[in-house]
Formats: sequence, structure tokens, C-alpha cells
Amino acid sequence: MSTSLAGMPLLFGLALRRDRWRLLSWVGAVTLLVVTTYTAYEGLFPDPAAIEAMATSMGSNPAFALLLGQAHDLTTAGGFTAWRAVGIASLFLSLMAIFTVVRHTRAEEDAGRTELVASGVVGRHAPLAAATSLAIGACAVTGLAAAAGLVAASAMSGQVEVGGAVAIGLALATTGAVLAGVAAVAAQVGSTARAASSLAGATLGALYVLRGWSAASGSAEWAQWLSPFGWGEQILPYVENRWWVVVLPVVATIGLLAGAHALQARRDVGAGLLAQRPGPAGATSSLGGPFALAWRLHRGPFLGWLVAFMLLGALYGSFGSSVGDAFSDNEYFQRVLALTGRGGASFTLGFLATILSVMATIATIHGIQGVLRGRTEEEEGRGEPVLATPVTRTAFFASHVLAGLLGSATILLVGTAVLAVVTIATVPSGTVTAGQLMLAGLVQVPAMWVVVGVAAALFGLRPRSSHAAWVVLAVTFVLTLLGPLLGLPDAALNLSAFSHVPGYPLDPLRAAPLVWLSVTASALLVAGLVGFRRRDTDER
Amino acid sequence: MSTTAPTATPSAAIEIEGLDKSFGTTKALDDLDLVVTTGEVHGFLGPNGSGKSTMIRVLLGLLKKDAGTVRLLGGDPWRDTATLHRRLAYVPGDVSLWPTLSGGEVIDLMGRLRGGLDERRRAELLDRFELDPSKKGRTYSKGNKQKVAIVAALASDVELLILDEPTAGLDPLMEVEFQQVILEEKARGRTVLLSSHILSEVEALCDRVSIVRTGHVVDTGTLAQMRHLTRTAITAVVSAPPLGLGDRPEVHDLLVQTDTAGSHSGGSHATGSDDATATTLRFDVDTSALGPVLADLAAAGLHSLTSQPPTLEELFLRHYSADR
Repeated sequence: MSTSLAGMPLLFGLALRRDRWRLLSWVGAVTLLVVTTYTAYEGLFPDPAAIEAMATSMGSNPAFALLLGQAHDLTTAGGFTAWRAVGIASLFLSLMAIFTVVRHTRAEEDAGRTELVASGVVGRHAPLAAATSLAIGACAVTGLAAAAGLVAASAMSGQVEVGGAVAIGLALATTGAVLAGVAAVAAQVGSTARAASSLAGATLGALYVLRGWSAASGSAEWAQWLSPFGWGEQILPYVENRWWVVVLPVVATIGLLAGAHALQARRDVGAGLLAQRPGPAGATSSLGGPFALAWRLHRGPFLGWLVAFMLLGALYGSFGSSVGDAFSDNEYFQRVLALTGRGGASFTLGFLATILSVMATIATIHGIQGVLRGRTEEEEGRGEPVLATPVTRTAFFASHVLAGLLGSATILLVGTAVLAVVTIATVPSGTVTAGQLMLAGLVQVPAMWVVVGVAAALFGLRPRSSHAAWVVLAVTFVLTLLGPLLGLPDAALNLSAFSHVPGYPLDPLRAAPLVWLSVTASALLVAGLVGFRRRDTDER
Repeated sequence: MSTTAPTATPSAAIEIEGLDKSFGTTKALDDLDLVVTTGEVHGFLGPNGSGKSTMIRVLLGLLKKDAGTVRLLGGDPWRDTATLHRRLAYVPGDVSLWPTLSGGEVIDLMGRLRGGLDERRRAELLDRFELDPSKKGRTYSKGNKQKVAIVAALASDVELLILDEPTAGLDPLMEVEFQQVILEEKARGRTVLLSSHILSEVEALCDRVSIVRTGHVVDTGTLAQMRHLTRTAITAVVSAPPLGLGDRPEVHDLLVQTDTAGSHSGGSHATGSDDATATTLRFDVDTSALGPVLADLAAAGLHSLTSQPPTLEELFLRHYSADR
């Protein structure tokens, strides 16, 4: 074992050197998210009545359970943070873990650098061990930072609380570690970095949705125990601090890492377990232009996302009816309803509007991915040979940007259609029509395209910073999901394109914001195109 | 798009004058001039990082020039990009293929993007380069990736081939095949701009050669002309050292060695002269001044003479290394 890990400290140092700023920003952002949620609690809910109202409204809303898991105790800042922030924070941390592991294993192999490194005094298992150590180390640092921040915050409010803070830190760190293990296995199975990331990302999505489904259904709590996100929740930070639960993610991580190393011992450097088959000796007649090429490159991820969105639509649609039930049994909401003069159906409509907004945010990931694929083509030297043919700059740019725009809109609308079919079949008739739901999906598109447009503008104008589009999406996501609750000022909330989308079908449609969003999206796209036509191509 | 460049065969396929291009503070091209005549194979040589690929990218309309004039097939490569690209094919120095597309798909795609390819020619080239078109992009070796790019470029019917170190990674057999194919293309009247480090390839293929150093073309001409501008190494044995030879500006690195008869005792029989001493001279002389120097030597009683014309390597080493 010792020789097979030779050189590991050196590789760890190299990976840390390459990723220090990247990791530091992940760690900082996640810590900030957790600690600010805790510190904001007192200001947001100053008296028991406000806490009571919030606890009943949110604790029983299946839409929140789907997205964030079950709330266990919303009457303390700690319990609130454990529910509201830890779910999202562990999602981000898991993404960080996956990116880090794949970047330093499979992506290095694709680039041919592993071969260079492996010719030195480097053991077979050293690169994988270095990558997973870095990812898990970053998760641990995040857990520590979050725990320390929470302890400090509790001290400032006069009552030092250590147990819950440590429990949250552990929940974060161990969930991220499990996903690092998942990524380590995916890096052995997939035959390219792209395939490995997709595999690990799909597993992450499935595990997250599984926890949400289990929490929202109320009848399948056992399924909580099948997902690392469920384990993190079941530690019950600030509520019971069940330390023994931590054993589950630790054992799972060790098992996954052992499995990954065993798989690695059985494969060649540069090859995956899923071998590549030979391709056709010639192209079909359809592969004949820049747009056909773009479709060929984008169709794999597109079809994967399409299936995922159909599943998501079906899952979310099946909760439409239980939303109405949950609220009609609740005395507090009966009073609210009486005051506002809205019918019980309004909760279902509100739920659907929220869910569609979340689905649109997720679909934006595919949109940005599509646009940035064009940048990758350029960066990795496949763009120049294409641009050395009569293909114009405009066509090259448009082929990838359109893939992002149309791909994201298509998956959202197909997901919405499935959601509509399932919803109509389950909710009391007259609550909502399929047409209303399709329209509710459609109004999300301009906001989605604004964010995709940011990616396109960066691609055209600031190609080396084009990955900043992900930061924009992450900020948007946090603002949409947490912003209103954290009492952020409107000026901050308005930074998110999605906060301008009318909450149809609950709220009436308003044309003005949709027009403005469309204008903004168009302006960003045109700016990107003009920039791309004027600038030098930029190979790495 | 506006200028439909007519096929009015201009005498120069490529005309560059005073081209400048900087990246930030780095000056990649500095007042570069280059003319490639229609129908010739033009070698473009220079040390690593001297700006060869940058110039090719400007020619392809991928980079925007800072200053100077660039005419490509009678058009402006930045403005008339797509129109001009119908008439040329390009092989990049560092070929990157789509990992999931097979080599055959890439060849067909590139051909169609260029406006069509000749099926018979494609089959012939695959055969000659012994390339398996059904492998996926990421499974090809370096040399085979290069072959995919070469076949893709040569299977189209174009006027101009721009080749950026096209044979890096090819085995010697394939290298010979490549030279054969380029000679055939030349016979068909195509113009070729060939950037290369392989001197035998340059010698076998190129009509004219331009040498670039730090972004500036330092020499252009046929190989014969370039040889003329360099030095010939001379070793001569004379009776007495000619006066003033070392003072001639065309003579470099003169080494004088006087042998006495005694020192020859056990060795070779004397050199036909019964004189007691002979002087061996070693020096380099500018090839243009060879005549007068030889006359001097003859006057000094020439016993023997060897002269060595510069090899191609020496020619380039001299041009590549900074200031000599």
C-alpha cells in the first residue's frame, strides 16, 4: 500500500496549489450562507408569535420539504439554520467535492497529464488519493469554519452553544465527503471527465430528490436513510444532536473510496470501465454544418436532462394535491384565508409557482452548460479548425448559444407538461388548468434566458472569465430560495432575474417585467455576439 | 461577404506587409513581411515561439492584426473570412479532435463545412495514410490525429493549403507519403504554405523559404540563394601563409598551424613538396568572396584544399540563433 501511494503528498500539494482560491471561495460562500442564516433569525422573527406563524406555515408546506427536507424545530435559530441552510449548503459542498475529484483525476487523464505524472515516482493510487483527500479536506475545513462561525454567533447573542454548531459542521462535512466518494467511483466508471461528472452529478440529483420526496410524502420516511442528505438531516443538529448518525456517512465514504481504488486497480490509465466502441467510418448526411455539429455535441447532455426533467415534473406534480390538504387542516391558515379572501386552492397555485421557479433555475444549469461548451470548443483547439472553414463567427457562436437557449427552454417546458398532466389528474377539478400551468412554465423562460445570456456575453466579451456565469447562477439560486426569508433588501433581491417573474398562476400575469427580461436577455446575447465577432480566438 | 473575390489568379496568394500583432505587452509579430506566389510551395521556418502560428492565425482571420496590410487570395482575411475559407484548407499544428466523433466523421464534417469533399480522393488518402476512420477521436495516437487532419484538409478541392507543422508525430514512412502527396498537389497548381521544422521535408518540397525570428522575417529566398549568403568552410595546406588573409573581412575564424618536417618523421610521406615546412589553414569564408580568397591561396602555393558547403542545419542554426 505504501508504494502504491508514493508521491501522494506531492500531488496533494500540487492540487492544493492549483485550487487554493477556487476552494477558498467555495468554503467561504458555504460558511457565510450557514452563519448568516443563523444570525438573521432573531431579526426576522423577533417574538414568539412571529416564530409560531413561520413555523406552522413553513414546517407544514410540502414544497419546502421537497426542496429542503423535513423541518424538525423552527423555534430556535439553530434548528431553523439546520433546516433552511444546511440542505442547500450541503448541496453546494457536494458539487464542490465532485468538481474537485473529477478535475484532479479523470480530467487530468484526459489532458494526458496523469501520464506525465505517473512516469515519476508516483504510485498507482496516489493521484486518486490526493484528489479525494483534497476534496474531503475542503469539506472538513468548511465544516470547521461553519461550526466555529455558529459558536461565535451564539456567543454574540449571549448563549454559547457548541453541540449544535458542531453537529451542523459534521452534517456538512460528512455529506460532502460521501459525494467525493461517489465522484471517485464515477471517475473510474466514466471514460471521459465529462462522462464522470455527468454520472456523479446525476447521482447527486437523484440522492437529493430522494430525500426531498421522502420528506414531503410523509409516508416514506425510511427513504431518508438511503440518502446522505437524509443522514445529514437525521443528525438533528440543535434538536437532538444524534452523534451516532455520523457513522453512516463515514462508513459510506470509506466504502466508496475503497471501491474506487479497487476499480482503479482493474483499469488502464486513460480508459474507463465503460469502454468506448468504435464509431462509424463516415458521417451520416445530416452531420454537415455548424448547427448539426452543435446538436451532435449537445444531444447527449440534453437527452439526459430531458429525462431528469420528466421525472422531476412527475414527482413535483404528484405533490400538488397534498399541498391543499396540508393547509386546509391547519387552523392558522384557515384564518389567513379568511382574511385574504383567497380560496384553499391558492396554496396549490402558490406551490406550483414556487416549484416552476425552482425547476427553471435548475434548467438554467443546462443552458449555461450549452453556452460554455462553445467556449470549451474554442479553448481546447477544436474551434479554430472549424472557423478556418467557411463557417462564420456568427454561426459558430449561435450554434452553441442556441443549444443552451433552446435546450434549457425545452427541458423546462417538457417538465412543465408532465407536471401539468400529473397535477390535473390529482388535484380537485377547477383548481388549475393545463393551459395555465404551461403558461406558468413559459413565463420563466425570459428570466432563464437572462442568466444564459450572461454566460453568452461573457463568452463573447470576457472569454477567460466565462465560468463566472456559474457564480451568477449560484447567487440567483440563493436569492430566489433564501432571499425573501432572510429579509434581504429589494435591491439585492432584484439582482436575481427570477425575482421579477410574476408568481403566476397564483398572482396575475404582468407583461412589463416579462418584456424587460426579454429585452435584457436579447441585449446580453447581442453583446456576446458582437464581442465574439470582434475578438481574437483564444486557445489555451 | 461583399467582395466576391474573383478567381482572377493574382500573382501572389499571400501578401503581408508590415504586420504587427501584440498580446498585452508581448510583441508576437513585429513588422513582418511575406509574399507567397501562386503555385509555389513556400516554407515558413523559425525557432519555437517566433510567431509562425500567430501569423497563420492572422491569415485565417482568427486573430485581428494591429497594423500592416494582409492580403490572402486577393481578399482581406478578417473581413472576407468565410468567402476566403471556401478556397483554402488548414492543418493545425496541435490537432484536437472531438472525443466522441470518429475520425471518418471528422473528415466528412470538415469537408462539408468547407463546401464539399471528393469521395474518391478521401478513400485514396485513407488508404495511402493507412488510417482507420472508425476509431473515436480520443483513441487516436498523436500521429494518427495528425493524419485525420491531413486527410480532412487534402480531401477538399482548394487553391491554398496552410499547413502548420503538419508532419509532427508522423512516422518516416508516412512522412515520405506526405511529401509525395504535397508534390502531387503542387503539380496540380495548388499553393502551399508549409510551416515546418523538418529540414529534409523543407528541402524536398519548398520552392522558396522564409525564416522568421522574433516575429520578423529575417530572410526569404530559394535555398540556393540562401546558401550563397552563408559561409563555406575551407581547409587548405599551403607552402607559406598568404599575407593579409586574416585581414580580409570575408574570412572568419582563421586558424594557422605550421608543421615542421621533423614532426612528420614517423608519419605520412611528405606532400609532394620537398620544402621543410607546410602550413595548414582552417577558416570560414563568405561564399560570395570565395573567388578572390582562392586566388590568394593559389598564389601562396596551394598543396591541398577541401571545401565544405554549409549544410542546411548550419544554415538554419545560423539564422535561428540570436545575433551572428
